[in-house]
Amino acid sequence: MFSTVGGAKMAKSEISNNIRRLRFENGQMTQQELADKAGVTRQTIIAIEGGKYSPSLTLAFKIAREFGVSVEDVFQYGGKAR
Amino acid sequence: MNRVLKYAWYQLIVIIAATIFAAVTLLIAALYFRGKEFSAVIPFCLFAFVHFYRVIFPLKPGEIAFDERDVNIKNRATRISFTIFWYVFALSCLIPILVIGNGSIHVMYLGGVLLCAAILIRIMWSIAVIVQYGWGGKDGEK
Repeated sequence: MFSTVGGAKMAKSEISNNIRRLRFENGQMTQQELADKAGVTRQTIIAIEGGKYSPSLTLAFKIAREFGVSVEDVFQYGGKAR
Repeated sequence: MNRVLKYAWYQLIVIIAATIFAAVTLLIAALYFRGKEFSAVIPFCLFAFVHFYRVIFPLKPGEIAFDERDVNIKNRATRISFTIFWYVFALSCLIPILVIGNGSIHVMYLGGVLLCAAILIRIMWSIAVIVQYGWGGKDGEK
């Protein structure tokens, strides 16, 4: 849940995504095809899909645009509101 | 395997190979060619091969060299390698004080320390990149 940096706790990413589902809904798009369209490597798409990497806003918008949906339809923030 | 990970493995192999070659050369020079130990520096010319990466592994048309995640990984690896370099360099500067005290050190000591530091930085950078990609397992998806 948390990683420690210099004794301080840092919250890990709580962003989930629907990329896998959206890929299959968009003509069984492969990870490589999405990567090429978004201008990143396939490994980055794999990492995002697996929730191991949170993309920048720019990349999030690019991915959402490729699916023709809004960013919130692709990425969801699961953290608690303060 | 993406290009950054491939480069890290390539660099690690070249540097370790050059270092082993230099160590063997130093050993042979020390045993059979006394006074010519400095020739052990020659194998470090192999380091130049690190910069031939783009020639050996040319970028394919349409291939993406690196993206934002790769940049993050490279930056983190640079921070890690320089942090380790700093600690090792500081420690190696303290060793003569602890061992010799107020005496003098050989003129080659600083050169040796800097050479070792340069090698260490490259090795640590490569290892840090490889570890962050999860050792390249499952196509480096970590």
